[in-house]
Order: sequence, then C-alpha cells, then structure tokens
Amino acid sequence: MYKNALEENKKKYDTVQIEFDSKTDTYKLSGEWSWVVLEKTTDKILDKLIVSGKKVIIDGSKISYMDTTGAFFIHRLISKLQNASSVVSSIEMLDEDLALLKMTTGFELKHDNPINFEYKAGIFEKIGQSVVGLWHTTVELIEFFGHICVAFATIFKRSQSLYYPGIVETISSAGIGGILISSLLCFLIGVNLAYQMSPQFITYGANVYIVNFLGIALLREVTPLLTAIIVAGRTGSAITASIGTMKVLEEIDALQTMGISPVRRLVIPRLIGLLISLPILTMIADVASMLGGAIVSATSLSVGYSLFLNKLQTAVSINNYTIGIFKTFTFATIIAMVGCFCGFRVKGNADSIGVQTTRSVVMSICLIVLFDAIYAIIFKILGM
Amino acid sequence: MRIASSKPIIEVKELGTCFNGDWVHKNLNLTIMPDRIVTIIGASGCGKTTLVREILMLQPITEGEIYLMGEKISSYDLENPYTKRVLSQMGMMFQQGALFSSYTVLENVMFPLLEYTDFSYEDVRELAFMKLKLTGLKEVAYNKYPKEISPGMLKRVALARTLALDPKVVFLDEPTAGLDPNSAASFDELILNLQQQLKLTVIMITHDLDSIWHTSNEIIYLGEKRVLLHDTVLNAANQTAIKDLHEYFNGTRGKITKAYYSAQMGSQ
Repeated sequence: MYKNALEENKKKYDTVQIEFDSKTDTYKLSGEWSWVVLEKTTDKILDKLIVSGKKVIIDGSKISYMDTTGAFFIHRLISKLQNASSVVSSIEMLDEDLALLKMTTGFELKHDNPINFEYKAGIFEKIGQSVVGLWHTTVELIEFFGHICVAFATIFKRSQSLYYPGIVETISSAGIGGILISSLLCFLIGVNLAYQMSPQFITYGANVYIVNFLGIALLREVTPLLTAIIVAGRTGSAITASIGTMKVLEEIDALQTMGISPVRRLVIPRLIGLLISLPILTMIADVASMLGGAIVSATSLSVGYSLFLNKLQTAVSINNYTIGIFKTFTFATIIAMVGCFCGFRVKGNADSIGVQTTRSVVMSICLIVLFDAIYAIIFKILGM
Repeated sequence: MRIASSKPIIEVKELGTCFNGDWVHKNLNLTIMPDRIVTIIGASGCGKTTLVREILMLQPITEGEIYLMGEKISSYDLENPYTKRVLSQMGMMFQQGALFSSYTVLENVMFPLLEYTDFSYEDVRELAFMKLKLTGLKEVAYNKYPKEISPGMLKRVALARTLALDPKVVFLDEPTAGLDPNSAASFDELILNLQQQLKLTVIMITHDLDSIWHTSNEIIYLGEKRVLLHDTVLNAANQTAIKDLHEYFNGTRGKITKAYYSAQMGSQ
C-alpha cells in the first residue's frame, strides 16, 4: 500500500539522473538525491557507469535537493571509482550539499568492520545450548522451590507479613472466575466419555458398569488433570504476565530495596490462593463431570439417576476421589511456582513477556502431566 | 545556495483539546517557520506534549485546524498514503527513546528505512551505520540491545532513528532529561550541529534552562490553555508581563543561567 504511495510521490520529484560525459570525464548528477527518489537499482546504475584508471570530475551542481541518503550514494560512487583506480579530481556542488557530503565522509561501513561479523551458532551447538539451558532451568526451578519453602515456613512465624489481599484476589480470579469454564468443560468430558464407551458396555450387556468406569476415570484422573490444565492456561499465564510486567517496570527491584521479599509478597499469596481454589474447583468440576456422565447413562444406557448414585457409592471407593483431590494440591503448587518463576525470568524487552508466558503454560502442563504419571506409579505400588 | 522556504512549516489555528470536559487547549494559535530551533515551555501539565502529539497525529483534536507544510491534516488514518508521506517528513524523539527493545541499536535505525525504502538489506545496514555515526555514537554499541546501553547512548540512537528518513521537522521531547551535564551539553551541541547541517526545523520540549539558552532560536510559552508568548529567548527572559515566565527565567535557578548566557551574548 505504502510503496504504491511512494511511487505516486516520486512523480512529484525530479528523478535522479547520472550521466558520464566521456569527453570531459565528468559525472553529471542531477535531480533529487533523496531516499524518496533513490532506488535499489541506483547501485547497479553506478556500477555500469564506473570508469577505471581515469581522473574524473563529479558535477553535482544540478542536484535539486540532497539528503543524507543522497550523500551516502555519492560517497559510494566515489568509493567505487577509487576501487577502479580512478581519481576524483574535483566535486562541484552547492556549498550546502558539499557541507553535507563532508559531514558524512568517513562513515562508510567497511567490510572488515567487526559489526559485520555476527556469531551464528551451528545446529549441534544450538542443541547443546538447549540441553544446558534445560539443565539450568531445572536447577533454577528447584532453587526457586527452595525459596518458596523457606518463605512458606516463615509465614507461620511472622503471619502479619503475609499479604492477605493477594490470596483473596487469586481465589477470586483463579477460583470464582474459573468455575464456569472448568465445570462446563468437565461436564462435556463426562458426556463425551459416557457416549464413547456406551456401545462397548451395551455389547457385553454390562450397562451398569459405566458407573465404575466414569467414577474411576473422571474422579481420579480426568477431572483433576483437566481442571489443572485450564487453570494453568488461565491463571498461570496471568501470573507470569503480571510479575513479568512488574519486573520490566522495576517494581520488583523497588520491593527488594524496601526490604520486602518478592517471594513472600508475590508468590506466597498466589500459591495459597491456588492451593485453596484449585481443590474446590476440582470438587465442583467432579460434580459437573459426573452429572454429564449420569445424563448420558440415563438416556443411552438405561441406567437411571438413582441407580447411578447407588452404584457410585458402592462400586467406586472413596480413595479414587481423595486421590484426585490430593493431586490438585501438587498441581496448584506447580502452577503457582512455574507461573511466578517464569515471571521473574522476564528480561527488559517487549518479546520477553510473551516468551515467558508461553513457556509458563507449556512448562506447567508438562510438569502437571509428569507428576500425574509419577502419582499413578506411586499409588499403584501402594495398592491404592 | 538554495532559497529557503518562507512558508510556515507548522500552523495551528484555533486549536481546542478537551479531555472529559476539561479543556487543555482553547483557541491556541501557533505558527512555526522553517530552519530554526523552537522550544515549547510551560508549567507541567499545560499540554506541551499533548500539543506535539496532536501535530504528529498521535492524538485527535477537539476543534481547530492544523497545517503541516501548508497542507491541512485531518485524517488520522495511517493507511492513508498522504498521512504517511507527511509523517515521513516528521521525526519524533520520545522522552524515553521508545526504541524497540527486541532489536539491536543498528536494527532500530534500519527499521524505518526498511519500511519506507526498497534499498537492499546491506545498503540499509550501511545507511543506518552512517546515521549512527552522524550522532557520534561509538561503534561498540551498534550490535547491542537498547537495555545494554547507557541513557546518553540511548538518546543518540533515538536521534539517529528519528533522522533515519531525513525528516524536515524533528520533535524532541525532553532530549536532555536524565543525562549528566557533560552528556547533556554534548547532546545540545549535536542538536545544534545537525540542525544547521541538515537544515532541520527542531521543535523541542524541555525544562533544561541550559539547553534553552544554548540551542533555541525561539520560545513558545504555553499557559492559560494557549500560546502566551512566542519570541526569542532573550526577549522571553526579559519580559515582565507574564509573571510565571518571568519567574521561569529569573527565579533562583533561572537567574544564574540567564546571567551566564546574557553575558556570553553580550560579549559576542
């Protein structure tokens, strides 16, 4: 769009002209030597007109206007002539153009200038850097966990230093604000799972066992995991962005200079808030998912609501439910810890907040699934 | 010598700006002629930055008209080719530099050139190098990111980016704020030098009395929602009709600077 506008503009300006008069060995420059008129092809035109081994004159007296870009290309002409062993004996121009030319002399970027040599890592070096980076991140995350543990332990000693409004805020945004979306999704997952499995149960005439399946799958695994993932996406990213912005604006440095621990002030309230809200969210989502399963069971499998409830009490042990809720405490810790950790890693540029927010969500979800798997193994060994 | 244009470069007629019922400007008239350094001064909150933002179309006006280079500015549409053409002749150096934090110093200066011209990447790189050299920035900083350089260097990069497209008018918002006296003095020199060499019209907002005395040709004093005075620095400093402006140049801080520069002007 704009390039077209430039084309239109160019019509209003004098076009740049370069001619070489071989009789007088003079380069005659005219027109407007500005960035608006000069083009990519200017350099190639200059190349064609270069003469070697001569004593030449540059006549720019007919240049109607010259800016620093124009001066840049005249310097380039001079430099090309010098490379072709020609000598510029004189330059004729208006005084102001000559002054501009003089002002910009010696500012060419030479090929051997260190600025041109940007180090670029090879593929193996990049892989190596990623592995080392991952290792450093892991160590730092464990260190950060240590900080949180220490700060958490000391709040019992000096409870007045705990920032209660932060806890309430987190419960409000992560908990109350997330009820609808997490319940809705878990309800739909309940419906979905029941629908998908119903043909299998019908085939074997074991309709009522849908309750066993849903009870164990949803209460123990799916709902806690899904709720945690939703909260990681909603709240974890918000935590990173908020702490990251504070980091960029040096608010965290300000806290530190006041002798206030950023971990105690920013991390602990969010952690406690999530430790309270995530289990409650999961409990509500459990009800929603079971409701979804019950509706499908009643409509497709002829397992009525009262039968569903009775069967749920007898066939699904309370362990499944408590294990599901127990896991949410770990998930809450992961979300708060990773969210804050990535926030603190934001560096002072615009991209960094985006990068760290994405990393926070990905890292949280990976750790949540990893710990879910670890718990599955542990509980299997314990026979629960 | 080319004949300099005698037409005003900026004309503001009966400008009014209203924020939620509060008038920041009312019946503000202003004419700025080319090839000079004009400083806008006034108490904090009198609408200096707002005025500059309005001229640059960063903020809509409530009433009145603004003419840039003789042509009326009415559109705020950046997709409009005319608006873009006018804006390419205006350069603004923001108070904090407003450099792109994810680009290096060199890439920051290359950015407008890559957007507006069709020169090859290498040519643009060399052009940006030249513009940075013009501002006197040391080469060691060129491949660094804005956060890695000092405030003084940052201002020079911001100026180089402002000058990337050879604007005819340059707006400087507090160019020496936050700089040490040596850096501020050399930045003043740089502005003076570039203004003379590149035939720029510089419109500056500053509270730095040294900068005002050292660089400015004219003073625009904003107060009572309009331009109360538009005159040379010496006349502005010697007038007594506007009490606040008199205090500005003759107060505890102002009188020392005034005495020094008045003496210098006298000796010249």
